[in-house]
Amino acid sequence: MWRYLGKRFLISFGAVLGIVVIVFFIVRVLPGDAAVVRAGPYASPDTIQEIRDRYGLSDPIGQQFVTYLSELARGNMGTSIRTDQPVTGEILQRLPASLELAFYAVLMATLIGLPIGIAAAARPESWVDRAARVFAVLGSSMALFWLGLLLIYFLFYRLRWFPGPLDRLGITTTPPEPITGFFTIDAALRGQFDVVIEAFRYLALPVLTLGFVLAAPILKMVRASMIKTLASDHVRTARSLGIPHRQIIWKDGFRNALIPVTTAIGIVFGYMLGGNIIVEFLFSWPGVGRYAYNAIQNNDLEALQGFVITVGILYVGLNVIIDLLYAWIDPRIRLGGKMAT
Amino acid sequence: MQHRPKLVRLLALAVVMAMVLAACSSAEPESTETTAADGTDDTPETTSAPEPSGEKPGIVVALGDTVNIIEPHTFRSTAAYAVTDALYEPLLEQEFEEQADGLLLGSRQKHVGAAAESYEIVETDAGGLLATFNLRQDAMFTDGTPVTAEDFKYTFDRTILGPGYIGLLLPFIGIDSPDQIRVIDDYTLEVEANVQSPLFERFMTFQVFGAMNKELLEANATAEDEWTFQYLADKGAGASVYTLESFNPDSGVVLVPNPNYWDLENVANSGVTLRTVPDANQRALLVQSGDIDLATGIPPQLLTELEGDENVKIFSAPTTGVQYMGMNQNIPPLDNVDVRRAIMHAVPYQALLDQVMFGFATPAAGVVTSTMETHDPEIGARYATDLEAAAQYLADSGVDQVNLELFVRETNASDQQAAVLIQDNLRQVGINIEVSVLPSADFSERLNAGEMPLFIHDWYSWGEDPFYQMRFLTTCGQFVNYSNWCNEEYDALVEQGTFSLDPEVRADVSSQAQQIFFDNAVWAPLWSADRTAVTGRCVTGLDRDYTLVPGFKYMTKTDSC
Repeated sequence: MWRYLGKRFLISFGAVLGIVVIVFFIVRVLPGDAAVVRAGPYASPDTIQEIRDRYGLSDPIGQQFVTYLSELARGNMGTSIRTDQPVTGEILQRLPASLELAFYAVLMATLIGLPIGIAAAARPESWVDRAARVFAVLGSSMALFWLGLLLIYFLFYRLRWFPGPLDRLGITTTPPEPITGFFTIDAALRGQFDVVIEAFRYLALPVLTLGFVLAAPILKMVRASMIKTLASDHVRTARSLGIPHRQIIWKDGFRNALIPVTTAIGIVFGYMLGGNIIVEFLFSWPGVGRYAYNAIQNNDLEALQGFVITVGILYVGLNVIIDLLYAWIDPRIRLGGKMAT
Repeated sequence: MQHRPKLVRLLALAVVMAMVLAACSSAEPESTETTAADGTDDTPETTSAPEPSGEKPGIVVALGDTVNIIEPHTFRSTAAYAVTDALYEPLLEQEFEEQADGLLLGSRQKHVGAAAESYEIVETDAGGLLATFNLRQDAMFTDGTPVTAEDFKYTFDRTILGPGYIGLLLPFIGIDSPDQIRVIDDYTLEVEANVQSPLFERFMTFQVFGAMNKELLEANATAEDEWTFQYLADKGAGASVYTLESFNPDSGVVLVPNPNYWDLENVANSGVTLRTVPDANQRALLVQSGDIDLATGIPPQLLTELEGDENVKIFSAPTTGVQYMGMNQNIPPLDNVDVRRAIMHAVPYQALLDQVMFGFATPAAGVVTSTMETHDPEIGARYATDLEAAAQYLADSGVDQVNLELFVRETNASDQQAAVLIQDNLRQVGINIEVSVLPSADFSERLNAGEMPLFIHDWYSWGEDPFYQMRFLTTCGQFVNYSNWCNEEYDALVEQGTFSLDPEVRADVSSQAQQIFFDNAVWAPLWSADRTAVTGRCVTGLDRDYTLVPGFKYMTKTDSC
């Protein structure tokens, strides 16, 4: 087990290093001169050159790379040409907003997809199964922005059930002192339960938007995995021995279907890690997705690099966690046997 | 194992109950005290709106872009200009005149003292201008430090010697040396220009010349950041109506009245919260629902839909800005004047005003727009759609086939719509256009590199001076003369008009220049967009000055109206 984990960490480190190298060179072939954008309409050649010199954009590419690597080793991802602020600080400031949104969206998607998928698999070809499949098709084909617009229009504008797309908290609400960066958790830890409720109210619409769409792939994976498991020999044996249906579903079916389901949830969460640009844009959510969008529009190289590297590191970390979960789910991995695929 | 499904059910139930509770709850938690975030503090920690002081309401504004940098001498986003306008008070301001719709419009003819209590401008024997400003002795920075002539001297020196872009503008008013800015005593400042330009007085109303706290900035200067450009990226150092309460580039900015402001009793609100709401549709919904008081950057088509809503007011005032299609004369066949004339006369000007701008624009009708002083309407009227004339010009050009690429910005929907209409009309006279939509950075780079044959771009001149506009956009060698046109006779006329105070001379010279510009078919001037804003029904006090940046000092709202 420890050898397995050690190997995973080494591979992860190599992956992160590869991401850093590839991202550095890829962003530099993107079209657009960041110095020109920063200089604005009064962009004299002298002004543009001065900006290039200030941000090291005139240095040879090799020198830029070495400088970037040495700064990155110290946790410094450079300075945003758009805001003149350290990229590390800007990303860390925005990351909790995206992670909080991702967490609850994936949680909602799991809470929707998991039980419906299990119910569908337990009653194949029943109305439950058919309804689940319709839901899966709807969720897979639903345009995020369209669903988001509908929810805003009806649930905010018409019915006033939820607040408008204006950030994570109300205008007059002071955010809780940060501990995790998650307003819902930080406020709870500080005893500000009114802020907890308000944070959930502002989360509701973007989480609903994402959760509905993300539930579809989870549902499909759960259903398919459960059906396969319920058709296996050991389950047939369990049925023939008269073991209760509910026990078969949960103990024999679901537990054995967990590995691919965990993978599916991990993929969904990984997809969310980079922030969802559309949802953050629509709901004015101050996350890394919008940050990345602004960076792309302005060819803000350092910000773009920082964003991709951060997401890459998070994604690698997530995969390590998933591997640990595999070990917990599948004793064969824990005991050093055959690895689950 | 038997307990786990139960645990999952309990957890699911808890989450569902929390969501239901959240949906049903209408209680707003009370705000708590916030920390200041002016130049004396580090990065702000909170972003809550200000507590109402007395009975004055707080104002909430939704802007379309982020406040990226609030250093006042750096080119920045539109939202950032709104913030710096609130933080830095210049020597003068325009006198506001209330329009029929309640908009406070800044006068082009009358200026009044802002940070200066009084002023005098006289002509010098050397053919320049000398302005003497007597500063208010009760004007203070947010930390209580008095605003003195030394602070204004420092500000002007910074624009001339520092790395910002403002130094490029000062030659228009004949200032190029710190020696021309003189401190007579603590509250008397002299500014001497070595030319006579009508823009001189107007420049003194610009926020970029607002007093900066010299003592604070010199204390925070470093070897790498001599003029504190980096230091001020997220802080204020001014003495204007507001001070910076908090600053979060992606969330928003909170401004509260400067407690030491000399005219505090006339500030109509208890503070302003600026929020970034990137999607225009959401901004419109929020102002309709009353969650915000002012929204800017609403597209024309959406404005027409809002017109029927009693809960909102739409302000629309003509500006002197210009949206134009440039023709790069360095790229054949655009070096052929008849090809350019053909293109110019094939553009569907009226259709653009009706179908792209939905009436929220006026005809541009030239580089000196129809809304600008010295505009010659006879020449302006000749920018008309005439497909027969366009076809004739194309035949006269001797060019067999014209295939060109028209570039527009991805972030500008109106430009993209206009490009489609232009493409269709040009096809009718035999000119084939391919429309390319580019992200901002790519567009800017290629525009600066002179790689675009046709492009749609825009410009607005602070100060609204026609010669400033002509000089920047269309004289030989100017870096924003993206059409790469050069005409010495035209340049001489522009030079003459720039430094003349005589209205008749300026009108005559401007007319001659406009004629040359039209004859050479340098651009197709598409429209002059109105400056629009949408407010709640009971919001008043919106103002508009030379810079088109919304001012908040007089904005207020009532519960019923």
